Amino acid sequence: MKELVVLSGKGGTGKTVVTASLLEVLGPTVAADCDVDASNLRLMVESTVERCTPYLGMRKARVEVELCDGCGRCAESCAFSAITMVGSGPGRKALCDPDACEGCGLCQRLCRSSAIEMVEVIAGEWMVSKSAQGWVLDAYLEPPAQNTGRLVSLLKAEGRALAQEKDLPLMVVDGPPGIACPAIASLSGANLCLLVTEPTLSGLHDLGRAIGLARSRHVPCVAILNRSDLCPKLAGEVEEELEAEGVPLMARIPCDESVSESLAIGHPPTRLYPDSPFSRNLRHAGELIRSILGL
Amino acid sequence: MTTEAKGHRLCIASGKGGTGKTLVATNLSVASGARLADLDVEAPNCHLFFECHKGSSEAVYRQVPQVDPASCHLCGECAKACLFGAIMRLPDRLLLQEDVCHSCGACQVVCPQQAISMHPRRTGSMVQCHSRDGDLLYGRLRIGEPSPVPLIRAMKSCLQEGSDAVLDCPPGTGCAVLECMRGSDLCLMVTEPTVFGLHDLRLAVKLARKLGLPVAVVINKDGLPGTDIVPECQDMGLEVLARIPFSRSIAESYAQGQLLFEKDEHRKAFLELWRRCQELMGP
Repeated sequence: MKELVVLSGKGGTGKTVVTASLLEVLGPTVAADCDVDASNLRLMVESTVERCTPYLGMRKARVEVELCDGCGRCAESCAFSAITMVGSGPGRKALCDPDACEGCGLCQRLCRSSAIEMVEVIAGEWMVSKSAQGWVLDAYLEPPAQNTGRLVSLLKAEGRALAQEKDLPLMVVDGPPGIACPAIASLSGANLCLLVTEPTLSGLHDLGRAIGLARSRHVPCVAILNRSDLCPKLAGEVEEELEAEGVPLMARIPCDESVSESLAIGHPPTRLYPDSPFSRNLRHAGELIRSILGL
Repeated sequence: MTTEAKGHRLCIASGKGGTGKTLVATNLSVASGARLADLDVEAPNCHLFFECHKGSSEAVYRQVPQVDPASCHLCGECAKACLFGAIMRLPDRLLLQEDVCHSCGACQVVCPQQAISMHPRRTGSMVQCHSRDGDLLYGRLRIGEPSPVPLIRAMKSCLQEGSDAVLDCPPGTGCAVLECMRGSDLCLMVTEPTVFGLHDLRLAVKLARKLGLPVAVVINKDGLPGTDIVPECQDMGLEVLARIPFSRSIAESYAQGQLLFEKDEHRKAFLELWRRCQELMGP
């Protein structure tokens, strides 16, 4: 099975629209929406949820107030400032903010009154859904979404297992913006990274960081330049950067109103407007990607 | 008797990436004279809109473990204590994976031989700079670092209590956004009239309200064919403070790193937006 991950660095360049459209073009696939704190893929890919599983995040520290002797060791040593001491004198107690707690368990180890328990918390849920092109895995996380890399790794592992079970040759990962933990986890084990970029100074700047991240993970990259006609000067700079970095350009997709119309209707542009500039260029990119992946 | 002016913190968030947070943050900071802090340290873009002529760059560190092999008895207590899987006990040594480490220090505390010490690892850098349009603080997360939160915390500690600040937040609804929102006086959501934008706005609003923050909204790309989000914003109890039109010329200006505030037609709008934000933030 091959794995394609779609990243960008900068948010809003069109990763999800490109992913949803590629799913129509690349044949039967498993798709994993790894932008887990703002999952949008299934807003554009019609699908039916077949399985929904609670997702347990890291455990959270909870203080048993009656046992707490107010010594404050937990608050002093918490690296995430999740524990504060409230009250005074004999009423002084530790209070843990579950949204700040990262679940390291150090406070529990330090507590001499055994007043701290690490409790299971349901952080959200992850779903397996059936679509016309195959399967889609995604998740819902209750804000604030924490340790998202862990959930990304879970979705990908489940996706791989599903692809194996259903004998599907490809998994496509709709990645998150940025370059931190969830983006790093999205890249893990991928055969190819598709960078969706745009001809803006911001897009160019963040493209460089995304390339740097993919390189550090030894994942080869290709790119799509979206909204390519927005600014010819910057489009030229982006193409120069891609060439300098040895990242082949799969397609230049011009600004296309049919994309926003498709978004409003809830289907990929490749289905609703198959002859639009977006769709024609996207299909061409899809063919190139298939051949690079050996599919 | 002198009264100390209270500086207000306005954070600009969205949920969805690409809605126009940086557009609003950069122009609002110029309109208001407030210091701009670009807390989107994974993909910082604010500095591209300013000609910074004086700057200082400072590395920011977090603590990661180091083992003294001479003292280590390979008991494996550190590996058990690490709930993030950053320490693995191999038959002949410990394997420490700094890029999975959350810097909690549990390993050092549990080691019976005191063989673990914490040492600094560069998590990123922060730059303070000045331009004719104002002061900017921005950060750059080191590529490969798992969490932007330690760098964001370090940057926030550089903000002065008595001065106004506009904070450009990253996309998403994760712990980085939470950290950016904490301690703010108002959360201004920048959204767009699309199903993606609306979906993620709901999550971002949920997060801000969990912190007890007042929330208001700016609709960017207003007029984009698709989804009418004004009724949805009203249903969420969100006051719409401004509507920035969907315009090719705005997109082109943004693409080239130009501030809209430099054009008269937009200057008034951002001054008015700042006035409305001040009303919501109170004295």
